[in-house]
Amino acid sequence: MDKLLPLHEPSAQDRRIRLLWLLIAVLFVSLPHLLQVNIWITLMLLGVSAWRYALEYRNWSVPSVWIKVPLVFAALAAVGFTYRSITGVEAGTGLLLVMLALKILETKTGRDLIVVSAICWFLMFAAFLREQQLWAIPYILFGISLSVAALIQIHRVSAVLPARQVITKTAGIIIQALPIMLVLFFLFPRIPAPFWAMSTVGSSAQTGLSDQLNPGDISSLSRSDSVAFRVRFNGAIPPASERYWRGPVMTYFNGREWSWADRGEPILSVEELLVGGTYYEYELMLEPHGREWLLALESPVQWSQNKAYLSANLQLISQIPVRQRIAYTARSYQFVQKQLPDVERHIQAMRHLPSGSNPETLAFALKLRNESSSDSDYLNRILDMFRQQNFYYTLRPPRLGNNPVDQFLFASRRGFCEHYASAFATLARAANIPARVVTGYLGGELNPMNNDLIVRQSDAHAWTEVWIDGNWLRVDPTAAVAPQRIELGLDEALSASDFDFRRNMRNTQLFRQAILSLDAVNAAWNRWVLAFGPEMQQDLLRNAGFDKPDMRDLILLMAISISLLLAALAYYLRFGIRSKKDPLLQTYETFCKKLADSGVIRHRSEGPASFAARASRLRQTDRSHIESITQLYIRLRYESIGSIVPAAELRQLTKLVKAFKPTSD
Amino acid sequence: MVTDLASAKAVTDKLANEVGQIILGKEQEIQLALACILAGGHLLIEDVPGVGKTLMARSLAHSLGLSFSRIQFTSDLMPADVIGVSIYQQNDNRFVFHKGSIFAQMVLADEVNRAAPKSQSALLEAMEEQQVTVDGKSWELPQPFIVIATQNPTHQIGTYPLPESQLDRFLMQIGLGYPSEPLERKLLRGDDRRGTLKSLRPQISGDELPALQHAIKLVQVSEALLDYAQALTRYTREHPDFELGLSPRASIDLVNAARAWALIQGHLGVQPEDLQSVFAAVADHRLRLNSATGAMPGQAAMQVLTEVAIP
Repeated sequence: MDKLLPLHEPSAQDRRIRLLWLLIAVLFVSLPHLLQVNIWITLMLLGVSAWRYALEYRNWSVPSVWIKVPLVFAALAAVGFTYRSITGVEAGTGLLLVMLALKILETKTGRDLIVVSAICWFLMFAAFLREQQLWAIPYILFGISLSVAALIQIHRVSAVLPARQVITKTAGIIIQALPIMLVLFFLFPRIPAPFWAMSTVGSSAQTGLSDQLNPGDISSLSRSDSVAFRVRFNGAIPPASERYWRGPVMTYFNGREWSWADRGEPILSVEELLVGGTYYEYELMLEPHGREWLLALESPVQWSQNKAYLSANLQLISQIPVRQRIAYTARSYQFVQKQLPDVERHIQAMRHLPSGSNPETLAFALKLRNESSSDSDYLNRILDMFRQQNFYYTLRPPRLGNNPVDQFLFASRRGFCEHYASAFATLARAANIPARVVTGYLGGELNPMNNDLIVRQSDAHAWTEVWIDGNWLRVDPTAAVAPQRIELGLDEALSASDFDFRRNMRNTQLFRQAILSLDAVNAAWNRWVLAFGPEMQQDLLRNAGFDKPDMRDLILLMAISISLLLAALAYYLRFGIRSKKDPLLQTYETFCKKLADSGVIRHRSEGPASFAARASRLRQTDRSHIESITQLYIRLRYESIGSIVPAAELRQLTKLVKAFKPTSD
Repeated sequence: MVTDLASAKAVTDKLANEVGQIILGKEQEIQLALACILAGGHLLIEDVPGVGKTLMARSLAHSLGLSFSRIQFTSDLMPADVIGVSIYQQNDNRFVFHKGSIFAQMVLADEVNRAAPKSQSALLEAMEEQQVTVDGKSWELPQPFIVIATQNPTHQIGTYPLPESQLDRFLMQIGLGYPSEPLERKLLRGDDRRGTLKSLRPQISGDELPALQHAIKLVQVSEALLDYAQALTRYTREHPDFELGLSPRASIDLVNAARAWALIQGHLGVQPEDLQSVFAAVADHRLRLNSATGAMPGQAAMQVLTEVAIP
């Protein structure tokens, strides 16, 4: 193995510089991991790097095997203890970093250094598990550059290169690699499933809707500015008050929390739906949330996502959890009526209330229903109550106890959308009207940059649907208490006390503009780069004239493209480099160009001295300039020993040529 | 003793001056001949009879202080006449080698193309080997050993033109040409030049010539210049006008000749002009033109020089 490496021992200083380059590369590429893993791993990597460098500096030998072996086991145990596992993304990265630190500690030969730099590449690869956003690209590029630079230094046969030359060489190597990278990006066979099953780390911790709705859930969600999904409408954009994006439909109520129990629901076949009213067509790009539901505008009838179905609750559900950003097109109609096979059984569940909970609400409901003429009248009275009595719409509702609906309706009267939706649905069920709570998003911000509708977690909303006259009817009790929420969005609806600094910031014009621009760039990145999956690849090949591109075509095409690229590169390296002019020649050519502009043209086979003689004859006034430049040039080009031109004299020549202004005819 | 470029240049100046007193108006040719000798090569002078070829050779030998011998090549010249012959000594009962005319530091092979190929090759072998072998025994030639051959233009009757392989062994071929009218008048009016030849004084001794030849190694040859030299030879090999391009020996000779020329010009490094100045003399006799498309004979070198850009 060591045959790959310099046969003679590099000097102590060269070894130090080599190690320093490698350590810088290692620390830089592990940065995104270091910020995530347990602090002791971070400290260990930093400490060991410093230790190893100190050993090199003092010219001490690396720790013996009696220290290393116990260290390995101690580290393994520590990782296992910290993460309760040594597999999985989190523990795996931790283990990788710990072992990297230990490997650094024992680097002795050039081969060890190469192993460490190989780990660098793997760490960069692993960084994509965490972050695939646009900003990761310059970071990764820089990490690659550092690793390449370290590799160059490790492989130097003679002395290490000065930093400047390493940078040039690295840039050269990376530029050579770019076309091949593009070929691989476009042609490497894409597989439909995520390459590694874990996908992005921490998707479980991501904010988003849940399959349960507790009082306070959505109000806490509304503090998050992160994007839930982006929508691009194909044609008309629905008004703000119609932008109800359906998510999990909560049908089961235990007196305190609503939960989604859709798994057993029958699948709705689209043919049985009766649709009407205007419809909207759109492409929705959903950020990963780790759960099964898909978001769709009320009410979806057609969708492009495979392996998705519409439940009896009109909820679009994917058979595989959304662990990656996915895009699908859909068509939603304003009015949808459905013929359910077993309506009675279906709605019966929606009347259920747990016995014994929220007794005040039940009593109140019965009383109010008796006063009302019909179900509709009853529901309207409730909404009137929200509108007319002292109900407040607030982001900071007080905590509620065991009978939250009772407490909300009769005591606190301060709540967010989920409080109103929950209370309204409870009141409806108490009067034997089937009701359910729908969670999802309401509204969204239209980005003027690219006409994308950005729907954020802060747009999360909950509303109610009640069964009236054999059909489900959307009732949004929040509209009764805070109509601005529906028309204008959350910010407008909240009272002044709910504004915090961040919201003020968000509302300044400039900041908003910047956010929207950034989002447009990010959306484009998602749409064209991250979303480049099997479908887009197939489309690309079809456009390129392949009838039914399969895996074999892809591999063949990729092999051909890469071979051609390599051939072109080889040709360039063999013949192209020659055309690269050295600075001395360039300076002289500038000089010739100046004379040519003034009317004295050098023949390509005319030697510098003969040309100078002729030019001096033709331009008597410039004689001394021409001669001193030519003399210096001849000295540098034809009389100097070795091929390296002394920099000082070259500068002098450049200066002379720069100052040279020949008289014209 | 010559140890640096400046003193070498001073010596060559004196030499050129001295020869220039005999051969009038031929400074360029004299310098080329000197460069050829400094580069350690043999010289071929081709021209019509009577323009001073022999005189040139004699005066060079004289001013360089070299032992001189002249072989008149005729159609009946035998190889033994050139290299020598072993004669049976009756007293000692053995063969004794009698050295031929070639055993001199400077040999003038006059009208070399009038001799039969066998005799020509005897000379050319000696030039290459720097020794002669007779009856299985080798005899070293005196050092330095320089051959100046003259030949008449080959289209004259009764000549055996040297084949390309033989021509390649001459580092340079030069012509002298007719003198200009005023100079010819001067000749017509003047004394017998052969008398003046006797008045020439050797400027150096024959032993000093190797030091002078060694001095050309002090002239720098840059990568850029080598690029140019290679571009020139590449052109002759690749261009369809040429049936035969320059050999590697020719390109070595070219660079050496340019070095010597640069020394004579007082340059510290070889400049493209130095290469250009010697190129015709070094290359013209070695290039064979493609008769169908080629340029006029004698213009081949000119064509190469104008076509090839200086890198």
